[in-house]
Amino acid sequence: MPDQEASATDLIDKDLVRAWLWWSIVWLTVFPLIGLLVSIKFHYPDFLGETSWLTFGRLRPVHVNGVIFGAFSTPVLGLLYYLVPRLCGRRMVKEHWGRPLLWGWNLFLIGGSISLLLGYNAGIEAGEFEWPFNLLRWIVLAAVGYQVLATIFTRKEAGFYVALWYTLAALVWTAMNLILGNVILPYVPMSGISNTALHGLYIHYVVGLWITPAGLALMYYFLPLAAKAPLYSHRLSLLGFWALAFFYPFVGTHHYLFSPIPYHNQTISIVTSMMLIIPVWAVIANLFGTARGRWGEIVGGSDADSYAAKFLLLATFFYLVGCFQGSTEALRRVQELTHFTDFVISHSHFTVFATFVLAAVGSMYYVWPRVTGRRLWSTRLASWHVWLTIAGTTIMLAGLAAQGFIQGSMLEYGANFVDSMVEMKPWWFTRTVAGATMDAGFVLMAINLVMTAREGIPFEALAESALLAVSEARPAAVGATWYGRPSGVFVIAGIAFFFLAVVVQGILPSILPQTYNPTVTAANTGQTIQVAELTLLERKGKRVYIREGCWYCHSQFVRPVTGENMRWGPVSQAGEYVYDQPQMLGTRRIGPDLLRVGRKYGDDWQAAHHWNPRDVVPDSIMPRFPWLYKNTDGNSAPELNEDGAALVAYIQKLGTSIGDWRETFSSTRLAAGAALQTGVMENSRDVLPRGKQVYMRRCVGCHGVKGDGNGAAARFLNPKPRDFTSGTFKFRSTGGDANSLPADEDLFITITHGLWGTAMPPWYDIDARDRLAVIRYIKIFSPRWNTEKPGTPIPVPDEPPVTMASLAQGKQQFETACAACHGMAGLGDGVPPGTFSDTWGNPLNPANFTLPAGMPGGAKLGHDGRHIFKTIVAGIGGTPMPPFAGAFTPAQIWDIVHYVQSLRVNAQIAALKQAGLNAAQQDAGFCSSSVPWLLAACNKVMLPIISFCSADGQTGTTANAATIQLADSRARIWASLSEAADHRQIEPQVLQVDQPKIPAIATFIIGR
Amino acid sequence: MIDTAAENEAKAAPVDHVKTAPERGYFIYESAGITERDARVPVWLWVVAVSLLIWGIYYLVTYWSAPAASL
Repeated sequence: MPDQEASATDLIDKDLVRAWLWWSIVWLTVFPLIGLLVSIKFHYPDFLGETSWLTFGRLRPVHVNGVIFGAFSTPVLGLLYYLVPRLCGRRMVKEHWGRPLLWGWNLFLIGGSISLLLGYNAGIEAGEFEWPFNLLRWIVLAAVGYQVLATIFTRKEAGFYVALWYTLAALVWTAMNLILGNVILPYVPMSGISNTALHGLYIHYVVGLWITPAGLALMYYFLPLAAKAPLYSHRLSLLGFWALAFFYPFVGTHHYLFSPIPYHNQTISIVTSMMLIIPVWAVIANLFGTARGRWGEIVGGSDADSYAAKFLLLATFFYLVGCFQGSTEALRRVQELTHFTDFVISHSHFTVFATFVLAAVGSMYYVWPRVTGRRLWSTRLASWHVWLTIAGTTIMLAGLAAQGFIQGSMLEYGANFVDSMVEMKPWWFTRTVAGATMDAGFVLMAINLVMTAREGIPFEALAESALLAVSEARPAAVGATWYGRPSGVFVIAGIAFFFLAVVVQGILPSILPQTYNPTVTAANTGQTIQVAELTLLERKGKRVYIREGCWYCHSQFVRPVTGENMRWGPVSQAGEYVYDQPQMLGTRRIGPDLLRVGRKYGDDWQAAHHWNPRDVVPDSIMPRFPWLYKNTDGNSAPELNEDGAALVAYIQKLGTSIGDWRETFSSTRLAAGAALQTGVMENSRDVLPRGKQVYMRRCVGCHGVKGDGNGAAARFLNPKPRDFTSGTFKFRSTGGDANSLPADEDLFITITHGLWGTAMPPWYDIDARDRLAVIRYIKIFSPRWNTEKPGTPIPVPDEPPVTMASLAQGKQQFETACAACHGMAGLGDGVPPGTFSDTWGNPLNPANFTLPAGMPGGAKLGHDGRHIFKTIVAGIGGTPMPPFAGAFTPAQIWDIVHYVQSLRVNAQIAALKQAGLNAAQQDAGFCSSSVPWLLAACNKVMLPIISFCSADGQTGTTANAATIQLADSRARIWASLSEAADHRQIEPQVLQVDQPKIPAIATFIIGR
Repeated sequence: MIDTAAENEAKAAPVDHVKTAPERGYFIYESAGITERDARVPVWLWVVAVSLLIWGIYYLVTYWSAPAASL
């Protein structure tokens, strides 16, 4: 036995392994520590926040990539120079490459991390590095892969041990996956949902086809040695490896469940995710079985091997928990609740850190004494390391999982998103404490291993064998079949299964028309319309968005579950992502989803928000972005610089491709105020304290502590926030003069709906009682509420039908009474800009009735018929818009209302025509090649596949050009503007006005 | 700060209970110093695997297409 061990030791270049492990100690200390810094920002958002390269968006990718490729991969690669030669019975092929590769790897880690801090970010999660670093990483891994494969295929040991299966497969898979993530995703023209489907695969291949197999290779190799026991079962090894190799490549799509990725692809990913229970439990049974009968020696042992075994078994336990969590998380109902929350973060830390980083740590405890020739310096420090790891990991991961369920439940119940974040703050603090505990363990490990190399007691040789002298033992090569040979692993597992999954889950979805057709269904008309590409400015804004890491906290993906379509807006459609490369759907929401954020807030609000988010949202944990501003020294409001303006332009574009959906967004419909029971809160004792609490959390940033409209953000805003001290409000349904007090219902409507084109956002997503309470609270700012009563409600008669005659009458009245200010065409251009000002001296312009929802200068409460009726009668408080009560009969006012609405309807119809109504050729053109054989092959092979895959699948568009009627669109728009105006109340002739022929625009675009 | 318990590291005796009561055959990887049992896959794991496969087929067929009401 000693001779054999000596010869086995001679196979290894100890200096090389030691060099890799020195750097492993560095990266195992540094990169988790960056995670600790990142976690502190969740409860102290200004921590390290004034420097651009230390913000959350810059540090986060350094932590994630650093843990994956630094803390985990560095020891893995170093340990390969240890285990591969021993398992192959020969020295590593091209062993002398090892040191240059180590320096190349460190150059990649250091240079790549610095580049991320500087803002060079490719915008692909887990694939953020720019191409020079990707190339360097690939070269190093490919070179190591060559060394490993060449060593395996020329090995002297007849057997082919399970650790080598995983090693070989991991390197082959990763060489291909990095091409997928670093070449195809950013450069090949597969954008939008195709990009998303492929990214789902890529990101999970990093975990499942690199971290998992490489980590399992370590566990399978070092646990039997550290536990000094035979591996439990060769057959379990086979089952575990081949089940993993077959199922794992398909699962990545589960990152984007409920997205426009075809439904059956999502189902495949769910099923294969659950199937992963088979290989995981096989591995668990195998590794725990290996330790069976040895638990006493391992747990009670106090030598380096015992601590290696402890960490490896701890990793095995966390593998069981983390993977079961991951499999069940893929189930649709579980994901509805937990996706985008910290539950996902719990899972990723369970698997990456608690399982495989700890597996690498355990392996290092085994190897370090053997490559330094010294006994472990302190088993006491090692013991502290174990217990700090158990305590920190358990608290962090259980806490994160729990808070994921809590936040998911809150959101499903309809809580305000920021409120759900506030609920997380104590948990996040606990997470930081737990993380510090884990990091303290790593620091102790680093001290221990450094001191071992310097001060440890030298020894001759440690045993490196768990061989048994049993009569039944035979060389492993006996009886090996194709699935136990390197060629089988390389060809079938490494290549065939990988490509099968990429084709099924990545390529086939990309040939479905909905994934590349730039068309969507307009939310308020059902019309299929074209999606416009981003402008140059918006593209620049997207680059800033990626650079600053906005996408780590904000998804752009509204799911059709848990009421997201009531919270954020209409559900995502495939067509609106067509020009998105890299796609920005996202996998995490630390902030609100941004898919429908365009025009929700004014540009001025965005400027105030990015200067200091807590100025407008006191509970926000978003970092400041002062480097996006210029003129920051004076007393006036800083202005957005070129980058800042581009970012805001991009944000304002988001979600606007599906038409004017805000007019029909049920959460903000003005009718909601009509059912208000204001009396509910009248006698409540806590209404004022509650109102104050709401005010101080939602309103104070703009309206100020004194309610005078001078909040911290007010200097950025135009129009200025309402000054509550005068008791003057714009929109009322009460009679009297233009400055009479409004009814509570009016204030409720304004709060719920927001004022489009201004900094006043909609607050439909806070409790109605909170909205009522804050109405009571803002009344304390003006004495008028004590001395005056609101006027009597304006009676609004039933809306008459929309007829050609009423439109003509309305036009005439409008031109007589309104056009002087609003312009003949209702564009708000009847007077030169700056002519008018409000009561406080702030300049304002008459409303432009043709603008879509949210555009500055448009109708602030939309084109709802009853609202316009009341505004004409009551005027707009604090502005030159007078009350017209008595000037017109109710019928005449309705005529004016209809005419004003027609201005918006016509503008929308014009916009629809301009956007391009989709023609029937959408479904006809895939096989459009002029090459006969290609065309024939396409028609006979590809179209049936497309047809099969499209059948009943979730598609982003529902276009059927034959049924599209422009008149129908016009009717739908009309109906959306007036509750009473349905198809029956609109004269058919009105719907035929200016009806054009549907333009046959060639919308079929392939290979842009 | 050197622990005397580290002396144990030099001990590398194979596991006695395995030596004396081998149930099945063993594979050895001599240069690596590893022995591997050729044990069967536990019945409970087969039950889990078959159950999951049956469930997987059911789920795949049932949810191949989106239920109309949910989307």
